[in-house]
Amino acid sequence: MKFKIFFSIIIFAAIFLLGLSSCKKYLEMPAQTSFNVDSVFSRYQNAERLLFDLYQFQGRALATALNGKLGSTSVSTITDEAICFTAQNGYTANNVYAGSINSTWFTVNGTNGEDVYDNHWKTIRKALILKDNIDRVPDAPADVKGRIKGECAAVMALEYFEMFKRYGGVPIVKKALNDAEEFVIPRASLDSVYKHIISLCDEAIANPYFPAKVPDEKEFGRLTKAFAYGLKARTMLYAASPLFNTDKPYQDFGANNKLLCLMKYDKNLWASAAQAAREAIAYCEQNGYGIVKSFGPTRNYKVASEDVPKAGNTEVMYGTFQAINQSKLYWLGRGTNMGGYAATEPTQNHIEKYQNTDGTSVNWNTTITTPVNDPTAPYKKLDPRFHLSVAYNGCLWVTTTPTYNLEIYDGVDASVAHGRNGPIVAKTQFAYFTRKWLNGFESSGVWTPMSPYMRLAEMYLILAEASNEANGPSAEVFAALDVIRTRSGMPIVSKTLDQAGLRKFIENERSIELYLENHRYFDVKRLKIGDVFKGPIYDVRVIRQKNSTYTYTKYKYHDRAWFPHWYLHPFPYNEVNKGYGLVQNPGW
Amino acid sequence: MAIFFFAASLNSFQVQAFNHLNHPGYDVKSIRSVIKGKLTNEWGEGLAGCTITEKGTKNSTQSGADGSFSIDVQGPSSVIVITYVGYESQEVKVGNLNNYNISLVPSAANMDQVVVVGYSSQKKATVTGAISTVKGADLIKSPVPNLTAAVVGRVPGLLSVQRSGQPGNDETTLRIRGIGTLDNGNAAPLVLVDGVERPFSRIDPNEVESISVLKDAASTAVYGIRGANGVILVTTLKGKEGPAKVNYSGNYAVQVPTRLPKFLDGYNFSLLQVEAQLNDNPTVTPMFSKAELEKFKDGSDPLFYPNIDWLEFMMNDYAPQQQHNVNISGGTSVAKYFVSLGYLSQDGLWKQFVKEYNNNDLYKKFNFRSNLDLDITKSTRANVQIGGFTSNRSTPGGSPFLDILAAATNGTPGMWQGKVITLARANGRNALGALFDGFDRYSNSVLNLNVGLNQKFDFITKGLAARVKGAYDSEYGQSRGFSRSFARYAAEMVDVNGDGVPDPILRQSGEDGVLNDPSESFSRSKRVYFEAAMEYNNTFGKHGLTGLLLYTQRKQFYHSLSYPGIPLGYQDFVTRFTYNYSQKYLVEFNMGRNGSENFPINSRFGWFPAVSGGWVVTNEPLVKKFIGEDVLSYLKLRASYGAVGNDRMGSSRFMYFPSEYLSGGGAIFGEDPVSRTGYYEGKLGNPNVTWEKSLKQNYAAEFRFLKNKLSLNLDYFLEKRSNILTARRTVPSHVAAVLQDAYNIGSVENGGYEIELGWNDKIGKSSYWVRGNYSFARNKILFMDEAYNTQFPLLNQTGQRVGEVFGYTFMGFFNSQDDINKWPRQFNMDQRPGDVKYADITGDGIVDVNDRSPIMNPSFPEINYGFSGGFTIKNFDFSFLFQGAANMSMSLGFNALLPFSAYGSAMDFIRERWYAGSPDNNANAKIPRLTLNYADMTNYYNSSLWIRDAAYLRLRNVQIAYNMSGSFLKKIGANSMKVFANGQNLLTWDTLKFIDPENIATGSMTYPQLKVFNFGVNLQF
Repeated sequence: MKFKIFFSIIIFAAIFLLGLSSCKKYLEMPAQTSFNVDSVFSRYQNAERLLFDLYQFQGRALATALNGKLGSTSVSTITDEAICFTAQNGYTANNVYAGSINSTWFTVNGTNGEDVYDNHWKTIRKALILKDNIDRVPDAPADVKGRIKGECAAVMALEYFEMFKRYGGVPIVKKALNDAEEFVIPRASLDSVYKHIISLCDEAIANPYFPAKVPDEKEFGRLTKAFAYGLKARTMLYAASPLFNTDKPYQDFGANNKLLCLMKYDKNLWASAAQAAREAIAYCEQNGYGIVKSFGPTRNYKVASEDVPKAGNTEVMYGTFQAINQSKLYWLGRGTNMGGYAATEPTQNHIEKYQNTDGTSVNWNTTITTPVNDPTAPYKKLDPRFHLSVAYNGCLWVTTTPTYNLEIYDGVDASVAHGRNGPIVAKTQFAYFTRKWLNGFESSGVWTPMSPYMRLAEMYLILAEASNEANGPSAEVFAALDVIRTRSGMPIVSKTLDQAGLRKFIENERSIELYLENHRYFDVKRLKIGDVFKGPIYDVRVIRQKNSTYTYTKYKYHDRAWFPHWYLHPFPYNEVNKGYGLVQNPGW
Repeated sequence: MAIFFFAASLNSFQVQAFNHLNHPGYDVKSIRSVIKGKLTNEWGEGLAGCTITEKGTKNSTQSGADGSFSIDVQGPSSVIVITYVGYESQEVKVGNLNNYNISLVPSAANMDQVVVVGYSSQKKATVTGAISTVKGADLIKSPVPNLTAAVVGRVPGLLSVQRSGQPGNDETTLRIRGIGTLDNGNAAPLVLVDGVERPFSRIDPNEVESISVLKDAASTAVYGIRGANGVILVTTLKGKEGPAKVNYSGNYAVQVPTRLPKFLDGYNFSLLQVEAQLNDNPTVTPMFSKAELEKFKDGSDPLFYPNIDWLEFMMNDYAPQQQHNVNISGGTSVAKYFVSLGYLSQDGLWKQFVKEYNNNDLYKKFNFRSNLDLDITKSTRANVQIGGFTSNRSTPGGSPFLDILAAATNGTPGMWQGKVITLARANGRNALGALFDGFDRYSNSVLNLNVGLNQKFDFITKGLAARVKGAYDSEYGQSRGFSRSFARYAAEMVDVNGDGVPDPILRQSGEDGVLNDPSESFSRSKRVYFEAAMEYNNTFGKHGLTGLLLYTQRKQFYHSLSYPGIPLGYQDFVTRFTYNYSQKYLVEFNMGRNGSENFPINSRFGWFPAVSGGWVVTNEPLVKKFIGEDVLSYLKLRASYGAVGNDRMGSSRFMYFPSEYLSGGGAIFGEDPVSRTGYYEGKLGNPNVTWEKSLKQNYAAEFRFLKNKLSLNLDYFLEKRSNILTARRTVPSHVAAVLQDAYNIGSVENGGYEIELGWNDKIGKSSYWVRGNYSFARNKILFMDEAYNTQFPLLNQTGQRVGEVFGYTFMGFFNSQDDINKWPRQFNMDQRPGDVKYADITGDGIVDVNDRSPIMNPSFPEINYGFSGGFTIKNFDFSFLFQGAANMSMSLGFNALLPFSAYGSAMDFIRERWYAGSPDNNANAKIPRLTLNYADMTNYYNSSLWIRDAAYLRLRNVQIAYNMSGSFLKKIGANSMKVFANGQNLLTWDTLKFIDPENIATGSMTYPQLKVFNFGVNLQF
């Protein structure tokens, strides 16, 4: 018995001690096997995939269903360039027309707004991590690593520029933030953001490994030094423009005025912008870029804005593909051969910006009656860029057999049939459809459009504008504009224009040349001519008469809302509510 | 070894039992007599397991499940002694009575009763924490297939909701004292069965001795890092010394839905569909002409103008359910055993349309348990507990409720000439498809094993003991999905014979296929648990002292894609000291030092201390003297304060690891564009992540008045939870890192009270009792790192309750354009008469997203109450239980909300819609104008129009039982026999009307709650 007791005590003690002794490491995890930052930078193959992800949010020129701005319409629809199908509630451009932009959606993650504030910062974080760590990669040569650093600088410059033009001063983040103590960074002054962008551009430009062009066509879509030059010029143009280049912002914001403007007017900024444009043009043209001139006046513009470099586009300094074989219904009008959602339709206001090839303009202020069976008469002589950008009544839409002409008209009465795309028959709402980027895709259900973010043509326009503002009309200004016009068969600019006349002319020329390329909305703002947004917005009513003539009558479709506080975007409502001190822009 | 013991002891007792039963003539010659009786507690309920001994002999027996007993005694001069833990032992002279219905008196005011507490048990008299107990005998009264439903209403402080009654998928969500953290999902209590963390929903109630619910810090501090949500301890039955007892209980029940939604019939559906169509566009041709509508009404063309009542067509009126249990228990001073086998079979409500296989909902389960205690030496005891179950569950391959919600009642006659039919207007919809589309089968088997060794060390010092325990659990699950294709037929009118008159044809689409090879998936997990403890328990005169030192560790191995092969681990060190002076002044100190592998090494282990004290006022001589036991029989005041923790954060683990890089993202490159996948940075680790910290206070008073007849317990509690694991919501966008979901930043306050009131008495020889409990728990979010809206503070969750519903305030319907013009513009949209009018809360002249505010109540109740009672008259027992919940709401969604949408159904209550030309000018309209296209959703925004009060009161349980007596028992050789009828969820009172208040009224509408009518018999041999 005693033995039994003794025995059980021994067993007991043994089990107890066994349990306790094993406990020290009981909760220790096995060594981490996950794929962490060290693993990524242990091989170039992995690091390169971070580089791919760096470009996740790039490619903004087209706003199709995919990058879904304003409920899948283009940003152009909130300018005088275009309008969306107004019965579609999902197109939030309709809210903008009605005056109801608010910070709960306009810049918030989602597809309804104009911008996604978060995404700029996501890209900047990726760039900071990549740039800080790329040197750790053991199996890549210095030039490869160096090039990636150049790209990181350029992509950050791009993101800060995109915020600069929308929000004014934003926080400047110089390293990937991981500690809560470092999280709070106030908005930097507009001046410092501007200088930060320029310094990032300069860093990229000074980088000896950063190529002027992507060395391999498979890398199309990656940033280059040409882009860094171009962005520098563009940034300087914006900084020199009236919205920012002033001591009085669009709305007085007291001590925070420095977040909205440069706090003084500096005329020299125009000269700097002109100089930057000159340097950009010179650098590009020394490195194989050039204005597209060799496809004839009716095609040059298409190649320059829609094609890839190997198809002859020497002009694109940065372009992307947003998607492969994407449905193009958001780019098509409702009455085209394929149907469509009429997300982005040209306005009559925009049509009137085009001149005839002889330098004259069409008079739209009276009803135009065409000859018998000649519906396209008013448009025939217009700028070739018009024909490549806009589809209109009677135009040849599908050029391949069977061909298809658009018929966007109503019969004058029951004895005259409506056209098959007529507003009554096919419920088209406006007289024009978008053609730009559809050239060659008219009869297929999907497309793979190249979105140009920056073209050399813009550099010439920057040069013309900045030079005109800095020094008034000069040979340089006219020459720069003529480069753009002559390649599309348009006459040279009249030398009689004075500085103000040229200013107006350049604004108009930008609107034509950069149509739908996401410039107009911000051009109007930087030039501080926001009343343009008020409209009135015109369309044209097309009626087929009994005698087979067509009448084109311009009519006002609507007026739009515009408020001065719209000059800069609101920070997301929730972002301000986070309470870390982000100052909301005035009026929001 | 254990099995050998088990078999040997079982064998020997079988022999004894056999002898006993097969010698009925044994007492004929002697003067012995058999006495029979029933033992009841102060509530009049039968007391199982009382020991009845003939005084001066070794002759003894035990009372059965209902308290009945029979014993052979020498004769009228014999005295029987009845003993039961927690009750005064009674001696009764046999005399010449035949029936011995004896009510036991609680000893020392019921305070010697033993309560299961964390890692131990205590006398109820000395308990200072907030612990409620429910006995297995009570649970058996509820004929529910899931044990979690049986406790509802019986325990104060337990709040519950059961969303579904689907066989095998009918778990009740239980929350102890409400929700103390920011997410209901992380507020689940810790559940332990026989001391090891295991689920208890599938345990056979016949195997349960008691369930203890530990509510305050004093009782849960020993579970430390996981104690904050409260703990449920389930203890299974053990054998007791005495001859072998064989218990059989069999139940047969029918299940009926408590309530099913009512849909519009074909005619009214079509009629209102036309109304909706004309609402949208008054100029269109109505989709049904008057003549067509008439056909829906008179049923003259049932193929093309059908009227289908889906629930009637697809469901049986009731479904059967059976439960059986056989258990054998008994033991000697050396070995005790309890062996139980249970079977449950529950059928679903669906009708069978397919011949080849059963695709109804089905649930079948076999339970087994074998609990064995062995005294190896006088001071060494071993116990082996084996329990488990194996279950099979089937569900239809489709989702019948979803399909019923999605199928119009004028879209198909269902079946026609044995074929599944659809009409063009139903766009192919036929809810029957769900019952043709194969079935899914889930099997589960669970094995739980506990092995323990207790050693007394009285020879070192009196009251010292040690124990070790090991547990091994294994679970295996398999799910298989069998599907098959089946032919559908579209009914169309086509001129077949060319006579210019269209004839009805059935155009087939799809083929009747065979069941395909099942898709199959497996899950398996195992748990290994180890516990070692030293205990001390002694009294020195008036000083009572106990102590506990304990260590446990646990690993759970399971298959998971995110954490392959890394088991989940916990480790605890526990101490407890209790001291009492004369059972009058009580002090207790509990502490856990617990670690959770969820946290990094420096914040892995925490201290969780709790102190509590009690004062038994009635043990004061002065009180005894001046008030007297006749008035105030008992009063205990107790209070506790302590810290406990919570480590739950969904299923996330290792939140402290640095960020992983994941494949994804990327962009398109190349002039011939090619998509290139990137790597992106995953969630940033939180190196400081640690447990939620809860500080709990509890104050209580326990009263017994009038010789223990009236009892009143009051509990007040307050919990402040801080360090709550929640997402950081105010990190600036420019940080741009994806942060872990868990930072210790949230803070919630939760407080409430519990009241229990009881009365028991006798009228003549019949005893009766009534009892009620009421619990209230309300929480408030103190901090959740919300992006706080200072402009519109009503939009913030901070300061509101967890799960608060935000929505617009319904102000009626627009009756005219004039109405609309006078009202603030809503959502920048043009309103029409019949649209919903919302309050402009902000008063800024427009109704927009800022006009939302908290509406009604969260979906989980704040109030739960139970009211029960019963009486015993002669051989009849009767008991009832009412249970209710309040301060809970239900949000309507999907087809409850959007009639006709996407070819879907419409509920009957939409008849109360707003419509032009209503005779009472829409004074009683409850639904906005009908529409078909839902282009404008503003009428259906979350608002006080669409949230409904889901408070309810149910007659949860009623049981009437008859205890057989007399010669019949002898004839069948039974010691006792009870026949009974009981029912669950028999009546429900609420304001919701169209669906069960615990159900879900959205597109995921679930299987209804069930009303169960049960008949059963209990036999003891």
